[in-house]
Amino acid sequence: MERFLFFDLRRRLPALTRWASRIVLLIVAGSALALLAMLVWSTGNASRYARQYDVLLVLNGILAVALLFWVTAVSWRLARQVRRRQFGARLTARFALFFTLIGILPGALIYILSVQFMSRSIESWFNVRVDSALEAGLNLGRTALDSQLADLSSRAHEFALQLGQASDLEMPLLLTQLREATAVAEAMVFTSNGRMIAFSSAEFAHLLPDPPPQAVMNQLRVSHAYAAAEAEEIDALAEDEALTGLRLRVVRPITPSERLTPTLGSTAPDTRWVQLIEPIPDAVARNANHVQQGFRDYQELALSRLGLRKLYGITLTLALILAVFAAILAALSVSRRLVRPLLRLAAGTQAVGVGDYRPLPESPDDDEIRQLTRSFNAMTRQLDEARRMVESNRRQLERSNVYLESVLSHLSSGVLVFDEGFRVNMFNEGAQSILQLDLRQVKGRPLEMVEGALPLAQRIRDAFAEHEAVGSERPYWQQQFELDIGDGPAQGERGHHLTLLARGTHLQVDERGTGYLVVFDDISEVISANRAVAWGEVARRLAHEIKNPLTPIQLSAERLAMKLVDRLDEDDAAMLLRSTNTIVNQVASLKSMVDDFREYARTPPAQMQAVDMNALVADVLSLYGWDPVDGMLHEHGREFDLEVDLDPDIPLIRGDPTQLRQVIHNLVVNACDAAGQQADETRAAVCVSTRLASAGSNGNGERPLAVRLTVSDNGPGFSPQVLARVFEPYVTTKPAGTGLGLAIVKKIIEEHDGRIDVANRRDAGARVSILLTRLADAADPDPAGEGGPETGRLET
Amino acid sequence: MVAPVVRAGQLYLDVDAELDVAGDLRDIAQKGVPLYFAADVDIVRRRWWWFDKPVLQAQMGWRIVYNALTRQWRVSSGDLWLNEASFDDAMAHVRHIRSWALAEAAALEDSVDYRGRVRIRLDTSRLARPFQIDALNSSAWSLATPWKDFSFSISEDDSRP
Repeated sequence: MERFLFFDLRRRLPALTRWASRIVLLIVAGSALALLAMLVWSTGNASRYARQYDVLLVLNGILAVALLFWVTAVSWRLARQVRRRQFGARLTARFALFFTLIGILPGALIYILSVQFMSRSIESWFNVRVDSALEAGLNLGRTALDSQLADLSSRAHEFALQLGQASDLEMPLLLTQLREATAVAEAMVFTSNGRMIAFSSAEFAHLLPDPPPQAVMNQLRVSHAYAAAEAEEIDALAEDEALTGLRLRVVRPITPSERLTPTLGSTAPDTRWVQLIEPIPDAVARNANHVQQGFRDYQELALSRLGLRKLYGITLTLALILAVFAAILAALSVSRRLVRPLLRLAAGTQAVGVGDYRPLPESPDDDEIRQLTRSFNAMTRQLDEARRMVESNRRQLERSNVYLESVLSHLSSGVLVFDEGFRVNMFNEGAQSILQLDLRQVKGRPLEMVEGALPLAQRIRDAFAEHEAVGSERPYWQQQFELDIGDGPAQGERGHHLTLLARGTHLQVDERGTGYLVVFDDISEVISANRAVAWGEVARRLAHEIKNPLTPIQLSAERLAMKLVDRLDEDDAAMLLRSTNTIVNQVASLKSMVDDFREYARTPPAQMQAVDMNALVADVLSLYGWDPVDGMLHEHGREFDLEVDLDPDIPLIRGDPTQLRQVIHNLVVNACDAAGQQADETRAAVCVSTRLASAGSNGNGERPLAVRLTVSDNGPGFSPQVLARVFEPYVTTKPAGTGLGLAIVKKIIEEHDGRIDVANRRDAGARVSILLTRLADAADPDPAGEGGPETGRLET
Repeated sequence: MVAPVVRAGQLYLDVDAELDVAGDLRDIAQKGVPLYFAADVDIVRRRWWWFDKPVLQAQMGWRIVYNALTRQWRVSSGDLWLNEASFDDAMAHVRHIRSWALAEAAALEDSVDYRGRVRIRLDTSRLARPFQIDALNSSAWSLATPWKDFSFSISEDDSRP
């Protein structure tokens, strides 16, 4: 369970990371937006973020720099990909460029318009008329104050004159009278060192006098008079000066009259000062203050318009930069997202190119890209199937080709395939072995190039030409070639005579010739067999026809001699007897010859029985002085050595012992004769052996046993001409032979379903092998090797 | 010129500084824009083995504003305010600080060499914000005296009030 969860987590980790990064990105984007919004908000005056403007400016600047780095990094990576010609990079770059332009251009336009609009409108706030109007308002206020101040000054002057005639003691009363008479709010008399002499106030609540401040005293010392409007502090904490009241303060010196001048001139009295304070009515003061406040604000704004423009400009620029960077980033990311499925498809195409037919993962969005991917996958699947089919077809074709080739190579017939220009395209083993030529070097070249193949090639060309010329309906021609292959002067004895039965056809595919096919068989043996049959027939008829008149001839000759011998004289009688004897002898000789013919032509049907071949061989060889008991030759005068090697384990065979005895006899006689022809000093030797052999195949896979009899000699062997026709009658190498020995052997062996093979030994001499495949059943009677009549004398 | 003195158990500071306000700034003040000045004092105790130990940090602020209606200047510092006839009279309050009560002498250790520094500057942080933006990149607004160093120590007698 835990393992499962673990693997599940591992599988889901990329998705989780993606979600987490998305959330982080969202948060960062939100914060950046909020930061920008706060900056813009704080640019407006009446905001509580106004104090944090600097901080926000710095934070936004950091954000802009971070974005700049990000943009630079991403752009650099993209540029590097483009330089490396990475697939899809150019498309991404192009997309990103267009998206960026789409994002930036309107933004820049709006930015330029905003900056222009802002600076224009800020400038338009400040114009000369507003300036002068405010100035005039201020001056109005000043003039109003000044006129009241002048009024108060004149009253103060009056006070000073009046008070100057009073002594210090009279002053408070007089001051009060004067104040009440002139309706001044507050009046006070003090000395130069600030000591108060008299004080009078209209307001009873205001019992404490308001002495002139130090600054006023200083000014009095210099200018001996003071008249000014002062801002009155209503609330000590009031920053808003519109709420402060205004009052007029006038201080004038009191010039004492002559009579009050002390007679004692030693001490000059302090100068007395009268101070009048008159508050400006609240409404007037408030309005005047408003004007003054407005003037100040206006001045402040007018002075700070450069700062204002900078302020808005900085905010706007920062917003533009952030927007541009965000637009670039968004463009890059969007173009990457757009291009990614295309890249996947491209990668899939390349994979298909190198033989990877795995399907691409489909995108989760249900859009055209997904359909495209699906179609692509379908296409690759079909491609894959087609490729597999082609592959399997190719393999099948190869298999059938191999099969065909093996069939061809195991075909005993020779096969030659030519192209349209009679160049050899194909040949099989059979052709090589029949023609006894090495055709491997001639592939792709005309057959004439092979030494010794010129007559065959010529015959083949002629045959095709004739077939063409005849315009036969048959698709093939058939001809018998008598050839002496390789029978050139350089070849010497190697040349041999062949009879070939060849069939040729013009190969055609879609009515167009693609080549020529020639199939041929070596029918020399067939011809030979035919000849043997024909000879048998001839021999039988001749024997019959010749034998019939022989007996009458002999009888007539004997009667002539018997009747006439008494009537003739001695000499004539002797001549008659000689002549008739000659006739009789020759007829007998002729008879025996005819018998031989009959023997060849009409062998009596074989009497099949179980035969022990070893016994038969021993029986025959004993005629040549071989002792089957000790295996030695007893008659040392013979001209040859006899080697006998009998396999004691050979089974019994079915056969006619008489005929088989004749076979063995014929072979041994032949071998002895051949060995006797040996020219050099080597002693003639004949070797007879029997062996257990396996032959052929019966249906159930066992190789049935057979008995092989081999007779070989160290004579000169067969010449090729003889070897080809060795089984035909009257083919002999011996001066006194009839040429019937091997023919009879072959006939007998064929009747026994056996095989006979005549060949020259590799070292020297000839070798005849006989394979007897009919084994005796267990039910067969006892072997009759010893018995059986000797059928006639055999001559080879 | 800086002169820290201890009177009646209290550490006072008298400062006379050269701070000339001229040109644009004076014009701006003349237009009724309030100017803010501040005096900063740092007093530290030297430590040879580590950073200096801060002992005291104090600040005093002034606001000088012209009333165009009454054509008078007003200097205010905290709750106190004064009308002055001219800008220079008003600035005199800033230039010449008298009896700035910094600390109780008892709070400081006796016979220890304290180092301090003082400066007077135009406090741009209290200006209207457009001026602050201006002040960020304009030399006219960066008005300040250099830091003036002083040192003092408190004797045992002084610390007794």
